[in-house]
Amino acid sequence: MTSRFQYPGRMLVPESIRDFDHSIYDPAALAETAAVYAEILDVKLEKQEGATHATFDDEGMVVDAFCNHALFLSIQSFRDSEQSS
Amino acid sequence: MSDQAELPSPSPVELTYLLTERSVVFNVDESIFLLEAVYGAAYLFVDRCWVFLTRPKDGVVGVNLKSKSDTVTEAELDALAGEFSNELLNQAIRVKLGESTATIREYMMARAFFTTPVQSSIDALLAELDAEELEEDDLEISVPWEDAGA
Repeated sequence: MTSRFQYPGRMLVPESIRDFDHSIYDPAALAETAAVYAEILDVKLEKQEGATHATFDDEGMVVDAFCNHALFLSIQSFRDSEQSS
Repeated sequence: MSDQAELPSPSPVELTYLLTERSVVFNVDESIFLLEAVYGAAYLFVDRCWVFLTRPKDGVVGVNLKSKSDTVTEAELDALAGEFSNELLNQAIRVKLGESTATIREYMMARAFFTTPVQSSIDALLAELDAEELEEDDLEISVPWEDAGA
């Protein structure tokens, strides 16, 4: 979980980077959260080996809310899969 | 007494509080608390604080709890982490109990679904009682007066 400025010397756009491990966060839940937050948050999701690398154009409360939402959906997905198995 | 003194001291659970600005971070050993228990505790805390889970290494879940309040003291963060840890223990016991009683729960569910429905027998008894009551109605009170007069 890091934070830096996206374009040093040009624009002071705060940026936040977080890695969502796939053993904890469901990739489908992350995609769904990104779609829900699309209007208020610009996020780039890059799927890597075992994790999703997320770059946010914000480092405020919205990013934390995004993480909460993604975790909530991941837990629901985990519980649904447990019930169906 | 002497044997007890020779026993090695138990290793403490790795719950290290790293108090940073508005957040508290600690690691949870998955061999003690299953991910399901961590999920259970996190599920209850998402409305109270910002929760972010990481994987610092295999078998370890990093828990990052950030206060939703702008001003928070170190004591409040410590309390938050303590409450999360208590809930973690609660959820771990819940998971263990769920596993140990899974067979009996499945048996009871199967019995409830695949035996003769109780409700139908109750309905049959009620219908029988109604029929008996009508037979015993000598004064024909249950018959409307328009029908009785006709």
